[in-house]
Order: sequence, then structure tokens, then C-alpha cells
Amino acid sequence: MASSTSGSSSSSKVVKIRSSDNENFEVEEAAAARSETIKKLLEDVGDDADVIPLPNVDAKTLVKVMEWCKKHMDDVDELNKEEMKTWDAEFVDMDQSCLYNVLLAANFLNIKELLDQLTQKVADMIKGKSPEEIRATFNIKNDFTPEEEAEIRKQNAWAFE
Amino acid sequence: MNTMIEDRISELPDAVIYQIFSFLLTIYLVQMSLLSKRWRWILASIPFISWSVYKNDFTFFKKLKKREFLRIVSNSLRCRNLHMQVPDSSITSFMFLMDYDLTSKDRRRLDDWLSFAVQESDAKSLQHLISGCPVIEDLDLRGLSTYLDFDVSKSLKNLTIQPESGSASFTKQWLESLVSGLPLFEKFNCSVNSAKLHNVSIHSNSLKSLFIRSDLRHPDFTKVSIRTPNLIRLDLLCLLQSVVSIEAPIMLEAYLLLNCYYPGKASYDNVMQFLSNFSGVKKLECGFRSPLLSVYADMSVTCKEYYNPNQSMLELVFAPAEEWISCSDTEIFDATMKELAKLFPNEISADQSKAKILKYHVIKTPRKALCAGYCEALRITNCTGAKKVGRGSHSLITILGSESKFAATEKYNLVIHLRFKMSVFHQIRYSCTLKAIYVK
Repeated sequence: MASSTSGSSSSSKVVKIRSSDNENFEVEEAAAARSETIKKLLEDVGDDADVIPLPNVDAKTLVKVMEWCKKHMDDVDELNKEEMKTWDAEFVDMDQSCLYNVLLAANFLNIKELLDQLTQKVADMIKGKSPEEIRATFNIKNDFTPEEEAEIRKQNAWAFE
Repeated sequence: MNTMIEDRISELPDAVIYQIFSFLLTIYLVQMSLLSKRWRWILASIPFISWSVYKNDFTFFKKLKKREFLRIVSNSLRCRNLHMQVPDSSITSFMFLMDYDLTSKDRRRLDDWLSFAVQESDAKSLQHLISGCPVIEDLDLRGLSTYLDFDVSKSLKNLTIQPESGSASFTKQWLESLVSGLPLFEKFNCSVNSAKLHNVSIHSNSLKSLFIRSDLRHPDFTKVSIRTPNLIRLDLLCLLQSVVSIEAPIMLEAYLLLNCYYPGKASYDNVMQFLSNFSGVKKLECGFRSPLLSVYADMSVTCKEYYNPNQSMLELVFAPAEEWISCSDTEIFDATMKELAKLFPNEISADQSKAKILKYHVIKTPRKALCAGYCEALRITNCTGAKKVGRGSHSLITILGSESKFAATEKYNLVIHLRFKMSVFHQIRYSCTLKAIYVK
């Protein structure tokens, strides 16, 4: 891949990470270090690191996150920015359950840019929808009592028109 | 069908949800707060508040009437207010945009909201708020009594600093590095205690308009260096004896109000030296204040009805009116001429051997009759002689308007009109090059 050939020699260094369901992955250090959490762990343990366990992230999600990290490993030059944008847009276009998993993983692994992209994606899913549409989209359960709900509907007639 | 989807969004950590809603107008969160208790909690604790009736993505609520909109905002802020007691729950971002016509009652409501948003802000958190704001274009800080020391986003274009009079405000070093560090800075309005500006350097490559108003009765503001290659307009209110060095090659307009207090320090040379800074200016308006005459202006220039290229029609306002109100017109006239001769020894002498007086007129009015103060007094004075106030007279009124507070202690208005045969003051207010002014 173009990204790996353009990388410097230090990028060939590999770290091992383990998912919550005990699957091991070998990732280039430069890619893994996109995660502030992993970066800090690596600094703490130095070269003695055997495998870094990530108890909050399952294998399927970790593959996804590392796919993003590899793509964003190197600084993007102006020419590739558009291409990267398209790639990112396609990347965040995933089913909801997967989206939340990656979102939580990005939060836990502290990958700011990815977190920004994903929260923006969720925001876009909310944008322009009525309360009922939002309820349907996200399947939010109504936990108000019938009296509370009647009161809310009365108070907020504008939103339910 | 969507029935297969679990409700995962409600289970996201608060911080992640806040981040999602940092991209959205608060109205979406208000909507979601109607769906479950979880979302009511989020609405009550969200640190980002953003209301708008402009934004494109506001399509769903486009038809909201003003009253409804204001009510929704009010309710959501009341809800947010209950949460303020929780530690670390301050509002970090507050945005409000709308284009409704507002009544004064609406405005008060808006003011309440703004003070709510910054209510917990002491000096530190206010500065934190400013420093933390990624994009600020206009920043208007008036009536502050706190110490200022903040970074502001590089996007800043307009800045106004008007601290409460006498309150400690900032260090000179801070101001200097702030001004020189803003690449897009265009307009700076600074009105401060002169001690804070003593020896200040204002250097900015982008600045286009600069307004400096120093404390009138403070003798310390004596040195200022302005290096602004793109400055177009300068408004300066300072002491006549101030040493001002200005590098502003393309400056077109300068409006100066110079104070001749502390007599003995100012001299003709001072005036010349001061005004030599403005030799390239296309439009120069210059007013002076002396211990006796608070302002004077040439009405044959400022007022269309008095226009006369060969005469000067001066309007002078006595600052210590109370001492003079019982004097005769002749006494007032004599005192005026003496003072003018001191200010402009080349053009005017007390015995009228230079500029000759054609006519003079003294107007005395009890202040009670003119409750709005100097500014009003002048407008009325102008109108007695002319049915319409000339467009140019605004500049004069503006200057006086800014002085009205200073003059508010006076009980009377004492205005004297002098008509000179020679057009001595035209040049000061009109001339393109100042060199011409003092050449006989």
C-alpha cells in the first residue's frame, strides 16, 4: 500500500494488542499511537511491552478502529485531503450497532479525530428529524408515566405538530 | 423495521453525548428531552448551548413564532439553571442567533439569558471562556472591573475595551502582545485609564481603525507609539502635550480631540509637533479642550447653513459654566478671545489684530431646560440658527456626546458664537496637508 511505502523506517516497528475477546493483533506502532491511550501505555512500559490488553474493545471493533488508524497514520498532504475525506465518509457509514461500538472504542482509546468524525456522524443522523422520527431512528424507549407524557405533549405541542 | 435496533444512543457516556450535541442546535436536544428521562437529564446538564433561527439545518422548526421560540429557549434555560449547583457544570459555550424584531421586553429577556450564561463567571472563568472560544470575531468588553489577562482566538477582528473608570484593568505588556498577535485584527476601541497606556506601543499590520480614549484629567498619558501600516482611521482623545508617534502611511481620516489642560505644558510647538503626524491625512477633524473652552468647532464647516469659505463661525462651549453664567457677555467674550489667543497665537490675538471678529453671540440656558445634557444643548443651539442641522455637524455632536458625562456636573449651558472675518479654522478641519495651515 502507498501509505506503508511512504512511511519512515520507524513505522515498521510493530506492537501487539489484545481485544476483550482475547484476539491478538499486530499493528504498526505509528498507527497504534494514534490512540492517546495506547501511546501512553507504550511510553509507560517502554520496549518491554509484550501484549497490550484492551479489555473494553472486542475484536470486530478493534479491526475497524485499527483500519482507521492505519489510514490516518501519516500526515495527509493537500493533494490527498479530498481522497481522505471520501474515505472517512465511507468509513463512518456503518450500521448503528457497529457505529456505537467504534464510538465507545474511540472514546476509550482516546482518538480525538475519530471521535470527532463519529460524533459528527451521529449528529447528522439527528439533524432535521422530528421527535417521533428520532424516537424511531434510535428506538428510544418512553419511560415517562402516562400523566407525565400527557403533560409533556401539552407543554410542547410545537414539537409534535 | 427499526424494531431490531437496540437503544444504544441513550447508553453512551455523557461526555460523548455532549460532544454529539456540540454539533447540533439545542432545539434538537429539547426535542429529544421529550422522549425519555435520560434525555431530560442531558438537556439539563449540557455545557453547549446553541440557539438559532438562521441556520440552514433549522428547517423543521422554521415556522416557530417569536413568542414560541423565546418561550422554548426560556424553558430550556430554566431547566439548565437548576443544574448550575452541580459542581463543574458550567456552560462552556453559548450561542444565540435570531432575526426577530425585538421589543424592549424581549431585550431584557435576552440580557437575562446572557448574564445567566456567564453568571458563575468570575474574572478567571470569563477569561477562560474567552480564551476557550475557538472563533471570536467581535469582542466587546465594557463596564468590566476585573483584571484582564486572556488569550483570544486569532480570528478576532474587532475589540472594544472600556473598563469601569478607575478600575485596574490590564498590563501594558499584555495589551501590546495581544494587539500584535492578531493577524486579522481590524478595529480596536480602547478607552482606559491613561496610566495603563503610558508609553504603550500599538503595532499591528492588519489594523484599520483605531480609537483611543484616555482619561481626560490624567496627566500621565504622554507617550504612545502607533505603528499600523494599514490604518485608515484614527480617533484619538488625549492631552495636547502627549508625544504621539504614528506610522500609518495610508491613513485617510483622523479625528482628534486634544486636551489643553495643565496649562504651561502645552505650547504652539506641541500642537505643531502633534499635528505633523497627520500631514498625509485626507480628512482631519480636530477639536481642542482648554480649561475654559471645553470644545470648539467651526460651524461654517460643520453646519451647511453657516457655510462660508471666507469666514469662520466658531461655536464654543464653556466648561466651567457656573463661574461664568453671571458675567456679562463682554466679559465672556474677552475671556474667550484670551483663551483662543493662547491656543492659536499665530491666528488669533486678544486685541483682534490678527483674525477680526465680525459678530459674537452668547447663549445662556439653564441646564434644567435641556435635560439630556451637552449633546442636546448643542443640537438645539444649532437649530436656532439653522432649520436643518447640517450633515457635517454630526462629527461635532459625536465629540460632544462623548463628553456629556464629563459636563454633567454643570448646571448651565453657556455657548458662545463668534464670527470671524478670516477663515482661520477652515484649514484645521479641512485641509489636506497640515503644512498649509500655519503658513500665513
